[in-house]
Amino acid sequence: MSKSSICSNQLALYTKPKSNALQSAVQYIKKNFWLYLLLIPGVAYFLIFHYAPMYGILIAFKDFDVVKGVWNSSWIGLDNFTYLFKSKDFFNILSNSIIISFYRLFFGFPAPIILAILLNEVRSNTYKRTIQTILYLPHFISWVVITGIIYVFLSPSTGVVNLMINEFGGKSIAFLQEPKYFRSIIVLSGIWKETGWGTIVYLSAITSIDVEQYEAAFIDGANRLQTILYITLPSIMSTIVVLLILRMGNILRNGFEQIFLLYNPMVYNVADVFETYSYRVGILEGRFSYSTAVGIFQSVVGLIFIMSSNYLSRKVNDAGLW
Amino acid sequence: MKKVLIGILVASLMAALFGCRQPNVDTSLTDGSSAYEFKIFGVFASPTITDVDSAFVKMMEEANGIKVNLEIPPTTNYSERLQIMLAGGDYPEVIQFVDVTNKAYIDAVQNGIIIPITDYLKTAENLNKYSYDISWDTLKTKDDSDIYAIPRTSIMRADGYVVREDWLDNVGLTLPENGEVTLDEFTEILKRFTLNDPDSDGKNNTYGFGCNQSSLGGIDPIAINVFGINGWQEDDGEFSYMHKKFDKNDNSFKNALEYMSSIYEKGFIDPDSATITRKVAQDRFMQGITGVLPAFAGNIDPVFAPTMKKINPNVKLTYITGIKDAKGKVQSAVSGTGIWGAYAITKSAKNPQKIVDSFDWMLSDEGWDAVKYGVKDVTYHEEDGKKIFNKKFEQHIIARDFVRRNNDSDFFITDRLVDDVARTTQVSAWVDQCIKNAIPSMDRGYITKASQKPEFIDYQVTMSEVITKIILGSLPVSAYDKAIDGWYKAGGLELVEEMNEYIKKVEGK
Amino acid sequence: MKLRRTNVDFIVDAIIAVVVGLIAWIMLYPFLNVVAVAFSDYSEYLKRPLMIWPRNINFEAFEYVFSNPLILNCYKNTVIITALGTIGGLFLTVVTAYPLSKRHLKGQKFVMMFIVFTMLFNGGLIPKFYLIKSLGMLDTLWALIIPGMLTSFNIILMKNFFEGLPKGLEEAAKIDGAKDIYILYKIIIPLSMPIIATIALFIAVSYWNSFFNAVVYIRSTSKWTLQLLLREIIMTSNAALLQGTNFAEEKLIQTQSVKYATLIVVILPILCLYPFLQKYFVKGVTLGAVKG
Repeated sequence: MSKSSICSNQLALYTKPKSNALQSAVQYIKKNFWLYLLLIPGVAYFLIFHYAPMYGILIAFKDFDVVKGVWNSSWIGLDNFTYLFKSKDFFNILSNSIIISFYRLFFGFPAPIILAILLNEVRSNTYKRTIQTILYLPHFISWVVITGIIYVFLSPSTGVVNLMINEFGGKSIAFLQEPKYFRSIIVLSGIWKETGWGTIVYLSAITSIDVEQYEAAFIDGANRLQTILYITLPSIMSTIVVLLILRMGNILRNGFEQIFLLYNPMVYNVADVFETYSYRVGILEGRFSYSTAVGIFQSVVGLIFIMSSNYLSRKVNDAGLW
Repeated sequence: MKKVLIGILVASLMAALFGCRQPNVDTSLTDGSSAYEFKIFGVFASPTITDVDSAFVKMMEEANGIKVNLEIPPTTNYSERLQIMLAGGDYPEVIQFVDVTNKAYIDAVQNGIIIPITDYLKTAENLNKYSYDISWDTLKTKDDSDIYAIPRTSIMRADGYVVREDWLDNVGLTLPENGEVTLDEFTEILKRFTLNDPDSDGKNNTYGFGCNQSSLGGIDPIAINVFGINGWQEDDGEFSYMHKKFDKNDNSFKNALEYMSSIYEKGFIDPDSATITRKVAQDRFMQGITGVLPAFAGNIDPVFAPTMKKINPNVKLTYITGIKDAKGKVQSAVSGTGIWGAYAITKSAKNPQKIVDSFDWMLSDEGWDAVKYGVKDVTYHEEDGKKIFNKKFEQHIIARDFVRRNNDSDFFITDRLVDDVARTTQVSAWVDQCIKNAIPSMDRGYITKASQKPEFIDYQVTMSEVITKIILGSLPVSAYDKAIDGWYKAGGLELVEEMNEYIKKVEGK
Repeated sequence: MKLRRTNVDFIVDAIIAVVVGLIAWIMLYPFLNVVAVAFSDYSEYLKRPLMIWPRNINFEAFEYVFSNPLILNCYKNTVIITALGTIGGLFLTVVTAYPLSKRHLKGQKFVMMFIVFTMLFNGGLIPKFYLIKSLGMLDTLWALIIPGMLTSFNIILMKNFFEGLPKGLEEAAKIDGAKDIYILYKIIIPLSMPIIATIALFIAVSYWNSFFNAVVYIRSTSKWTLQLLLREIIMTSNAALLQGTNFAEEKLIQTQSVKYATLIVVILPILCLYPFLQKYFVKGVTLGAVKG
């Protein structure tokens, strides 16, 4: 439906007689005058607040001296990057970042979708509203508090989980000191905190589904699962795709606070990611150049992932960011 | 929806208008036009300036003919604010650096933003009298004879351990009068606290010692002074000065690790130690999970006792001031240099002498009295020459954070409202003992160039990881040999050489 | 139209209700714990750190929080920046997203890339500080309002929603000679209340929760925001001040009760926003009119 409308628009455009390129450009802009006008404030905003300070990226290639400023600090070329790639921890950090990020993608990304669909199936509106309000509470509780609660839960000496294990005759497990449990704890606590918040955007997409569609499906004798598969899911698909593509841009990013607050030397080899690494080596020691270089590496990889997943998505189902 | 939005818009616009019109909270109180006005950027324990603080500031202003503006950044983001301030170009006259080994400070000195104050200090007799000599060495930032900052002195203490006295009673142990124990006695306490049900609840749910993560994330061995590790000291090995932790030909640190991992294995140390922060370790002591905790003696009564007594009225607390080494001495190196940050004067200061004099005043008898106790008739009133404190003393925070004399342990007794003379005397004695036990490490906090290399900084984590794993028993003590080899390769050798040169230079004078 | 319900439907409904309810309990737990601790004496927290019901109820922690001379001012500032920021941000997001939802528009693809690029790369702390300084916004609330108004993420969400709207009405209006601005105002916006409510919530919450801009651009404590104060109280134990082994300063670290009480005081107003906006997600819109 939407495709055909675009086509007809374009058709109208191309069949116009054009005397020369400039004239047709002016014509085109005139025709879409309001659309371009509306774009101006947004584009100006990004130019001023995002692109104007972009020169700060240069400090990754400089020995940044805060007093001299970005322009006057001396160049060091690619030293920071060479150091990063040569660092003995580099591959460990890279693989940790990717593994944790993929776990989050596989388990964390679908969680709010499933929850939103489930919520949509709840009949009572009051119940639905109450549940929704509850679900989004943990988003507002800072990681410091959540990790504090996790410690108390998992403590090998006094934690509830271990007291239960002891009750059944098992030996206490120091969960946070065990490499095999650590990533699961990170992923699960992330799901715990953010899933409810994540449902909001899907719920708003579901809301725009025409109620008539459900009614028609019901009359056709479709069951619950079928309506979910053939009506709900397809209607939120474009939202899912867009969020997934954006998620790919963060493929090397895992956030700082959560991991930093939970990790310890016993699990460094599975927990150390770019954020914690650049904090330790960069910011903590006042070396902004180095942490900027680490950030640029993460972003470049993210950009490649966004571009290629957007391309793929365009090819496969004609949806994407652009 | 629309109406609501419009309502919000109008309300917030009004609020914005009124909000903008409200004048800034002014921190200074005197209005003398002749007064020299300057701004101090500094991190203090509280961002809010109470009337108690204002009273102090006013007193300082009147005594020195100055007008002081305080800019207090959020403590959690002090370093970002500092960076921005240095980048921004409009410097306040005085900047407090929490850490004078920080790159931002060194950059500021190198670039001439911070001016040398050696000449202005000549007349500052109180600053000279009440600061440690080694602090001045530390503040010769360019390694020449010029001093670049006013030390914010902190009394060097080798703190001991707060101990559950009621548990000691239950397991049949007592501490000697002076609070010093041998390593065996110490271990025995931990053992009985773990195994002998010190809280007599019939459950095996207590641990001897409460530990927590260090700033690097790992846990460190305790009581290292017993094994002869006392920071940078003279040595007769390959180098003239050595830190035993880094000495390849010496087993001191491995012995300390051996001891720590053996008591960990026996369960005398809280098994949560490697994953908890200092605050949680403190909570666990207060919950009655651990019985011995590193702590400052002056905190026993104000911080620990009140809450613990609410949980269990029978709680009694005492203090171990230190653990004796093989020679029977309790001596523990303090890695610090007797300073806790420093105040640097920037090139935007028109009258640096006046600023130095004002800081000097704070350590004079009159100033120090106000720093320590607050302003008369605000935090206390006098009866027959005796100070009677009131509740306001608890709000006397900012002034106490400004400066300290290096010889006044009474400063740390913050519990001025209690009347228990015997207990106060006891606590003072503990504090004094901890001050006596402190010996300075000869490195004076000097930051070598070697230690600033990324590779070396990286390696600190590996060290912390190995040490923690040894303590927790997942690596043998011998793993430390390999770790220290790696340390030398990562830049440790340069560090030791540089440090030797530095210590020779400053000791040579 | 009411749908007839079968027994199977009833069972499925019950199962869904129970599952969703259980999930909600798990999510509610940390909040209950925070509330219980905030209203209890600190010693009760130490006895039962995981409690979900206040014991030995007292309001000391709240009294302490409200005795902070900064708190009311912080409230005022946060409300101002959230209200102005949300209104401005919502406006900018709608007007930017609408043209971008027109795939045929020349330059649309470029502008999209231009916007997405900023999600990945940024100039960092110091250039942004210079920018704010040169705009004369330093140490004013504007520095907290303007820079966070428009985010790529919100534009993309809104644009995506616009693209999914049925084209019928829009085309009809176009044929009648309506201008794009008129279509946006009269047709698109009324159809887009769910996403507008969502984005309004996102923007409001991000303003309410933001603290870093305040760290960087604000100097006077009179212009502090709530989150800044919250961090000061919650994180003091991690602060530079207490690094090393200076145990003597530990008495200034707040108890769990005070930390949690501050958290509640800070987040409660923004939590109350959700139920108001919620009706826009729960109530389905009927698009029948559009199609006909």
